[in-house]
Amino acid sequence: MNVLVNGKEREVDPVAHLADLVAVLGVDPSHVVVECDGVIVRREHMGAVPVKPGARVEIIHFVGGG
Amino acid sequence: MKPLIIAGRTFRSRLFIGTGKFGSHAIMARAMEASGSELVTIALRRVDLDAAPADDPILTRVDRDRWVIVPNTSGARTAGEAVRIARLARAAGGFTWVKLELTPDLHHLLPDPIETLKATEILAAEGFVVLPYINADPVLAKRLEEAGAAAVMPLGSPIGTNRGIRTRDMIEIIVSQARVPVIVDAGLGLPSHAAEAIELGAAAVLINTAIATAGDPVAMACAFAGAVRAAEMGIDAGPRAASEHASASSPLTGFLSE
Repeated sequence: MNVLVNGKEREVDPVAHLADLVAVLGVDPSHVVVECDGVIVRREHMGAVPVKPGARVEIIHFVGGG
Repeated sequence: MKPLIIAGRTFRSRLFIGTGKFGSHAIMARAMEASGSELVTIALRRVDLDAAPADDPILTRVDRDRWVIVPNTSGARTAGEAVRIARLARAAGGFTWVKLELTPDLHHLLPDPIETLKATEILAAEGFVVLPYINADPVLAKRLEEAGAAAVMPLGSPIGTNRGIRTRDMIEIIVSQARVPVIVDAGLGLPSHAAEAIELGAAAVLINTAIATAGDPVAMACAFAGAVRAAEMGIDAGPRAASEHASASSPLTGFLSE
């Protein structure tokens, strides 16, 4: 299915929920925050949030900054 | 000087550190240690899904028991975007302090006062400790204080320019009127600039580029720490006011020619 991750269209195998999507994309969930269709999803809830085709997902992390 | 307290937290060091632009997180961590600082800023960005991580996650390098970690809203151009970033930071790591950085103008990176005020109102009402980065505008500083800002962060000169305090007169007015700590942020390129800010009455300075891009960031962090401390000691020692008239340091009697 197609999802829009960090502003880029991606074709991924269908996944049950956000936690799976993050894993499929090779991201360690312990240091990221995820937003799905404009809603912030806490790490502990990612396994309960389904990902539909066309979902807009942001995967964000902390970096150095001033 | 009176103790530096922001939102109930007392800081022993008046030097705050930005974590951008360091060559590696290892160097950043050593510079942080050398600085004696107790507050660091960080930023939020999209994960690059097509590249291997360049370094360890930054938060593994910052002990939250020792440093207050303040996510900034860099990249935001509107109040709405800044609020979104602050909420993401809180969800990601429980961070409740936020440095508002709203710079729609990508050339000079000057902060937008109107969007900054709007975002301060929203985030202060949500319980965030809001530290807005602003131009050195005394009227805006007061308005932000009234809106619930925990401190104000006027710039010395544009971000990353190392030009020092070009806003001196306005910072003096801000300091004279403020009931919240004034943190001079941006443009301080030399330890003497940081000392000048403290001598002007600033409660603290935030330094990033000058330390991170120095030939030896660890040594530069030490230098800034020393300058800030020297300025603080000088103020505590009771400096005398500047005068228009010369005043001899040596006795004016008993000259050999008399």
